[in-house]
Amino acid sequence: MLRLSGQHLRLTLLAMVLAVAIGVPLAVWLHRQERWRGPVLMVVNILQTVPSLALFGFLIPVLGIGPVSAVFALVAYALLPVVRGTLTGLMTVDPTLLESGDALGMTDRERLRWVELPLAAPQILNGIRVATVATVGTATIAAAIGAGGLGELIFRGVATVDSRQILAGACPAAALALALDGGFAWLERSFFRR
Amino acid sequence: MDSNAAVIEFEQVSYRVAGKLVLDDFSLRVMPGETLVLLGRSGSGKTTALRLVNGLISPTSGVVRVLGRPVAEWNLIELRRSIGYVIQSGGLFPHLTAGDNIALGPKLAGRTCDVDGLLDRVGLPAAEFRGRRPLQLSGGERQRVSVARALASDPPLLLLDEPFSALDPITRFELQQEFVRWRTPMGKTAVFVTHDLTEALRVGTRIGVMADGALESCVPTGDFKRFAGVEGRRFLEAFGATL
Repeated sequence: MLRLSGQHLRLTLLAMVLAVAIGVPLAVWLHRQERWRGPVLMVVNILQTVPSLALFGFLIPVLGIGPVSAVFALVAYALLPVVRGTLTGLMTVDPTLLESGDALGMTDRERLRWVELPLAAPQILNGIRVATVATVGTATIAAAIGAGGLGELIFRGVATVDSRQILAGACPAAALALALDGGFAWLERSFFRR
Repeated sequence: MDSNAAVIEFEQVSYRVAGKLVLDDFSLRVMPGETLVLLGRSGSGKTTALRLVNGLISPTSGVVRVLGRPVAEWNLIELRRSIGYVIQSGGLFPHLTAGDNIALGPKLAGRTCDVDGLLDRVGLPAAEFRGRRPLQLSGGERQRVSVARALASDPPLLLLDEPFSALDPITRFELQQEFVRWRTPMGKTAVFVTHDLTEALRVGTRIGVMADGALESCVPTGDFKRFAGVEGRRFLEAFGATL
C-alpha cells in the first residue's frame, strides 16, 4: 500500500507541476489576448467534460498503456482550475495598482512580476489547490490503464467484491487529498497574512 | 521666454473619453523649479492633465511636451522613471512593506535609495514604519509613504494628485510646510493638484484654476486674489472663512 501511495503521489505531483507550468503562463497570455480568451477557455472546458475513463481510453492508442497517458489526462483535467484561478486573479487586480506600476516606469514583464502575479497569487494558489485535490481523486482511475497508484487496490477490490481492499485504496487516497489540501491551506495562511 | 525652457508644455490639448470632453483646448507651460498648482472642483480635468504628462493617457488632439519633447516621442518607461507621481488614492502595493514600496522604483532602474532617510523626510520614523504593510497604516501614513515613494528615484519632476487629502488639518499643514521646505533646495519642478484653496496658496508658486476641462486663469500665488476669475472667486468665496 505504501508503494502504491507513493506512486499515486508521484502521479499527482507530476501532473500538477505540468499543469501549473502550462496553465499559469497560458492564463497570463490569455489575460493579454482577449481575442483568444473565449476559444481557448472553451477548449479547456471541453477537455474537462470528457469522462475520465473515456479520455484514458482515447489516449491509449496514441500514448500507450501506462503512466504517460495517465499524466497527460490528469494534466488536461487540472488545467481548467489552474487557468481559471490565474485568470480570475489577474483580472481582479485593482486597476489603480496597475496604473501605479505603470507610473513607476515598469515594463510589462516587471509589472507582471511585481504587481500582477503577487496580487493574483491567492487565486492562483486556490486554483492549484482545487486542481490538486481533484487530481488525487482522478488519479485513482489511472490504474485502469496500468499507471498504478491507489486505484489498483480499488479496481482489484471491485473485481473481487472485496470492500476491505476498496477501502485500502480509497482511504489513503482520501487521506492524501486531505493532507495536500491542508498543506495548501497552510501555505495560504503563511503567505497571505496581511 | 524660450519655449524649450518649459519643463512641461500643454499645447491646445483636448482629451475626450466616452464622448465627454474632459480637457478642452488646454494650454499651459510649467517652468523649471516652480510648483504649479492646478486648482479645481472634482471632475474639472486636473487629474487628466497629470496623466497626460507621464503618458498614462494620450491627448485626443494637441501636444503635451516634457523637456521640449512630445510625450508620444518619449520612451515611456524612461519618461515615467524620471517623474515622481503620487496617485490620488496612494496606489501603494499591499503585498509589499512601506520600505519595499519606496525602494521598488529605484530597484527597477538598478539603483538603491535611502529608504530610512525618505521615511524620515515625510515624518515617519523608519524603525517603526519600514516593515509595515499598507493595510497596517492609517490613510495619512499611506499618503506619506506614497510621497516618499515618489521621491525615491530623486526625479526632477513631481506630479502630485491631492497627495495630502486624506490627512487631518494639522498633519496636512505640517506636510505642506515640509514640502515647501525641501522642494526649493532640491530644485524640483512640481505640478500639484488640489481642490483646497488654502493648500494651493501654501504650496504653490503659481495657481492655475480649472473649470470644466479648461484653464480659467494661471497667475502667481501672490496675485491670486487680485486676478481671480469667475471660478477663482467662487473658491475665494467658499474658503472665505478660512483665509
